[in-house]
Amino acid sequence: MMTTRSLPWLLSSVLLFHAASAVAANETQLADLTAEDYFFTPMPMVLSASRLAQSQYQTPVAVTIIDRAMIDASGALDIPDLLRLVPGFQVSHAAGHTTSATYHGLADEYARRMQVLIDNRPVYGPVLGGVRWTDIPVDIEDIERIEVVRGPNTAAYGANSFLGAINITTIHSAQAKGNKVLLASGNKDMQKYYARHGGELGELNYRLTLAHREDEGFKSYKENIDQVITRDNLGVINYISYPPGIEVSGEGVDSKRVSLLNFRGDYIAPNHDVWEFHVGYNGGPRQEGRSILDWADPQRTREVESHFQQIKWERTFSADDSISIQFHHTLMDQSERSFSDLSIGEILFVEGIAPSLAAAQAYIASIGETDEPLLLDFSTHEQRYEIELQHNLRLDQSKRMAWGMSVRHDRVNGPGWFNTTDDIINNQHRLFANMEWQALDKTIINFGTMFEHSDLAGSHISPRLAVNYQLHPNHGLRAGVSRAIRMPTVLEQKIDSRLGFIDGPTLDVSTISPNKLTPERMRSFELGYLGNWPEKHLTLDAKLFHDEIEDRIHNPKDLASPYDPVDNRVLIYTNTGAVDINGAEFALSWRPATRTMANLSYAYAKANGWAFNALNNPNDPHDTENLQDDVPTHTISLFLMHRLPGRWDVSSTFYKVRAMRWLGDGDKLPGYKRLDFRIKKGFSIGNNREGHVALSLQNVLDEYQEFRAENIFDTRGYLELGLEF
Amino acid sequence: MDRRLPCNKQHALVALGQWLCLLLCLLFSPVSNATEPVRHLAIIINGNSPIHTDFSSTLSRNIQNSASLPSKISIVDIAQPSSRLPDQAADLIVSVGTEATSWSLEQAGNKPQLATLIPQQSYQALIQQHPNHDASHHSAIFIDQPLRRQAELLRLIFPKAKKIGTLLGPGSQSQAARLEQLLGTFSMTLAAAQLGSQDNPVAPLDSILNSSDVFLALPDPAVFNRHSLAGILLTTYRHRVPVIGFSQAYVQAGALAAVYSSADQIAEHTAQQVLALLRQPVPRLPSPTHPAYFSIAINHQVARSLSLELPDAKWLEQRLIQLEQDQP
Repeated sequence: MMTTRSLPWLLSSVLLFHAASAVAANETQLADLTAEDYFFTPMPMVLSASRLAQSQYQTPVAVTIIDRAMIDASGALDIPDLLRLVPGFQVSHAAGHTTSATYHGLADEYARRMQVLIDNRPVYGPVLGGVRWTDIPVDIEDIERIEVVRGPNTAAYGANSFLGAINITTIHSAQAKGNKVLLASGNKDMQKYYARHGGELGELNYRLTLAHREDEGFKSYKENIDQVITRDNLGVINYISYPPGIEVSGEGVDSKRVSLLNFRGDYIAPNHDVWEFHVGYNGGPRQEGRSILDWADPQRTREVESHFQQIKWERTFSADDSISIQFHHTLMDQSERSFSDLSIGEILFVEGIAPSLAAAQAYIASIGETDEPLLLDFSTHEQRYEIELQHNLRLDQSKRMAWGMSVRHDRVNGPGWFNTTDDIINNQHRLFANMEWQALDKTIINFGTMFEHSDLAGSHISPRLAVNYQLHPNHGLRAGVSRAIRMPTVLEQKIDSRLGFIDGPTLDVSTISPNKLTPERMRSFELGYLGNWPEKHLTLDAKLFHDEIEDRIHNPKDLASPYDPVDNRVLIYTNTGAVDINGAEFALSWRPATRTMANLSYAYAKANGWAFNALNNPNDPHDTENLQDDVPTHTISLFLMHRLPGRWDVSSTFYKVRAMRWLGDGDKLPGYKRLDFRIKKGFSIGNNREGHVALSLQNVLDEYQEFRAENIFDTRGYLELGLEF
Repeated sequence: MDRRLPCNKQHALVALGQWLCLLLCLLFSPVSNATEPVRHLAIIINGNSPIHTDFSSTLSRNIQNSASLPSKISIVDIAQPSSRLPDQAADLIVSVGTEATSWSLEQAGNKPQLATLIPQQSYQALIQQHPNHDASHHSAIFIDQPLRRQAELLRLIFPKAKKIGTLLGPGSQSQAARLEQLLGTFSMTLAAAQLGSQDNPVAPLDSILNSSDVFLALPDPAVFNRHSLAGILLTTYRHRVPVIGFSQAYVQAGALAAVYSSADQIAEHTAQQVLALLRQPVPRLPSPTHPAYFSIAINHQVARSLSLELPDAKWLEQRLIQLEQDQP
C-alpha cells in the first residue's frame, strides 16, 4: 500500500525538479534574444481551447457560467450555494456537512445523477456516487469559473454526466500572485480562516492555499415522532409515546471541521509545452448522529482524509491543434466506526425481531455469543488512478474535433457496507470523439459519442447530436438529442449490509444487491434559444426539454426475500421504474456595467414516473410509488448586485423553490422562500494593498426546512475581513 | 499552327524595345547619366540572430530583383570578431536591428544611415546617445505600428467602445499623452496604470478592467512579456475584456486581434526606400517612419468564446489602408 500511495507524490516532485532545471536553461536562452525578437518570437498559447469557455451559441447543450465576479458578489461560503443561481438547480443540506446539489431533483444526499469535474478531474465518488462537496480539497476562493452543463453530457464527460454536469476551473497561479487572507466569523459557531500565497520560482508560477472552516451545523432540530426510546438510570429501556402532531426537540450533531491545503503550479517550458501540477488535501472530523436514542444513528465522528495529485501536460501546435495527457490519483478515507447505544439483544427486541428482551438475550446465549453493543462501521476507503489523453484537431476548414481515451482504476474498501474486507476493484476504459461541423454558414452540427467499458457495468455507447443555427449574430437556436447513462455505484452493485456478530451468525440482512444492475438510461431532447441585446446589456438563455429516464436504480423493500432467512425483509437494489421530465427554463442576465448585475433564473419541470415501493407485497402486488414529487415544479432565483460610490458593494439574492421530495433519508418538504443580503466595503491600505469587510446574511425571511423536516434553516450571518497584499 | 514571328523579326522587336527603354531612362532618370555608377550599399546585421540574417537576405533579394539600378551590397556581420565597415565607402548604410544600429552609429559617424527593423523606443534611445549626429543623415523604419493605426483598428472592431484600458511601462509611458489625445478624437477615454519592471501586472489590471470595454496592449517588453503573458491574458479573459495586441505572437497567445508588420513586409518597405535613396547622388534621409505594409491577425477561437462577431481580416486591412490614404 505504501508504495502505490507515495508514487504520485514522488512523480510530482520529480517533475517539479525537472521544471526547475529547465528554468535555469531557459534563462540563458532568453538572454540571447534581441529587442526585435520581442515582436516576432512566438509566445505560448495561454487562451488555448482547453482554457476557453465554449461560446454559448455553439454548445450542443445549455450552459450556465458563474464567473469570479458573481462568486465574489454572492457571498457564498460553499460551491453548492452558487448552484442555487442556476436555472433548475436545487441545493439542500442533508446535514451541516453534507450538501446535495441536483439539477431537476431526483436526489438523495449524494445527488448521483450529475458529474462534477474540477480542472478536468472527476470528483464523483466511486462508492456512494455523487459529490461530497465538503470533502473536496478546493476552497471557493480559488475558483475562477464554474460552467454548468444543463442537460446530459455523457458524450463528452462520460457516464454520470446524466441530468447535468459541472466543470469547475480553479484560478491559474499567474493570477494569484501575492498574498490573500480572509477571516470570517458568524453564528452557528462558523469560523473560516483562509490564506493564499502566490509566487514564482523562475518560470514556474505557483499558488498555495491553507484554509480552515468549522461550524456546528443545524445542531438543534424538531421532529414529529410518535415514539422515543430512552434508557433510564437503571439501564432499562423505556418507550415514551407521543400523541400525533407533537414536536419533539432534540439535538443533532452535524458539526464539521475542515482543514484544507491546495497547491497549483503552472509552468511553461521553453518549447511552450504547458505543465499543470495540482496537489490537495482535505481532512477533519464531521459529527454524525443525534441525542435522541436511535440505535442505528448514535453520536459519532467521521474522520475524513482526502488528498489528490494531478499532473497535466499540454502541447499546442496551433489554435485548433493540441494534445494533452493528464494523470491523477485521488484518495478518500472516511473512518466512521461506533457502537450502537443498544445491545444486540435490545435491538432485536425494539425492532420486533424478538418478542421480548429476555427472549432475545436467551437466543444470544444459546448461540454462544454475548449480548454486546453492535459495531456500526460506515468507513470507506476509496482510491482512484486515471490517465487520459485528449487530442483537439481541425479536420478541414469546416470541421474540428476532439477525441481521446482514458483508463481508470478504482479500488474501494468498506467492510461495513460490503461484508468483505477485500478491496473491490473497478477498471474502466473510455474512448470518445466529439466533432463540430460548420455545415453551412450559419449552421453548426455537433456530433459526439462516448464508448465506455467498466468491470461493474459492461460496455456502453452514449451518442449526442445537436444543431445550432445562428439566426442573427446575436440570436441563436439549438436543437439536440442525446443518450446518457449513469453507472451503478460500487455501493449500489455490491452492498451487503447485515446485522450480526463479527465472525458470527447474521441476525438480519438489511440491504443487498444480488442482481447484476444495468446503468440508468436517459434519452434527452432539447430546444434552446440564446439571445443577446448588447445595447441593453441583456442576455437571454431559454430551453424546452423532454427527458426520459429508464431502468432507474433504486432500493425498494423486498417483503419476501430469500436472502434474509430471519424475517425475509430486505432493501434490495434493482433497476426499477421510469420517469419522464418535461419542462422549460430561462436565465435572463443584465450587466449594464461591471458594478451592476442582475440575474433572473426560472425553471418549470413536471415529472411523471413510477418505481416499485415494495416487492412481493402480499397486499398489493403492484406496490408502486409516484415519482412526480421528486422534481419541484418551479425553481426561481433572482440575484442583484450594485456597487455604490465609496466602494460599497450591495448584493441580494431571492430564491423560491416549490415543494419536493428528497430521496434516501430526505423528506417531502413544502416549498420555501429565502432572501440573502450582502454588503461589502472595500478599502485601500496603500502600495497595492487592498482590504474589505463584508457582512452576509442568509435567509432573513422565515425559517424553512432543508432536505429533511428536522433540518431547520434559520437566519445565518457572518462577518468577513479580507486583505490582499 | 505556329504563331510565333520569324526569328529575325522577333530579334528586331526586342532590340527596338531595349532601345526605347534606354531612351526613356536617359530622358527621365534623375541620374541622367548613360554610364550610371554602381551604387554601394552596406547592410549591418547581427549574424547571431536568425531574424536579422533572414531579414537581410530578403532585403538584398528585393533590392537586386527590382534594380533598375546597378548596386553592390556588402554585408557586415557585427557578431564576427573582426567586423568593420567595408573599405570602399558606402553610399548608404542600412543597419538591421538595435545592436547593428548602435554599432553603425559608433563606426560610421555621419554617413547616411537607415536603421530598420528596430523598435521606435530603441532607436530614439540610441539617437539620444549620439546628440552630434546630423538628422538628415539618419532615419529609421520601425518595427512598431503607428499609434493611430492601432487605435483605428480598435475603433473599426469596437466602434461603440467608450473606455480603453492599458498598462504602461517605462517603454510606453511616453506615448500615453498622444494615445489619450487620439482616443479623445474617437470619443474614447483611456484608463491606464503605470507599471514598474518588477510589478505584478494582475493587481492594477483588475481595477482597470473593471471600467474598460477593450484593452490595448502597446509594445513594452517590461510589461507585455512571456513572463506576464498568462497573468494578463487570463485576467482580461476573466473580465471578458477583449485585447488588441501588438504582434502576431500576442494574438496567437490569446489577444483578440492585432495589426502588425511581418519581417518580409518591413524588408519590402526598406528595399523601396533604399532604392529611392540610392538614386539620389547624396542620399537625404527622410524622417523616421513606421512600416508602410501591415497585416491583421485575429484569434477566432477567442472571438468565438467571447461571442464576438468580428469583421474579416482582409476587410480591416483595406479599411486601414483607406483611412491612412484619406489622412492629410
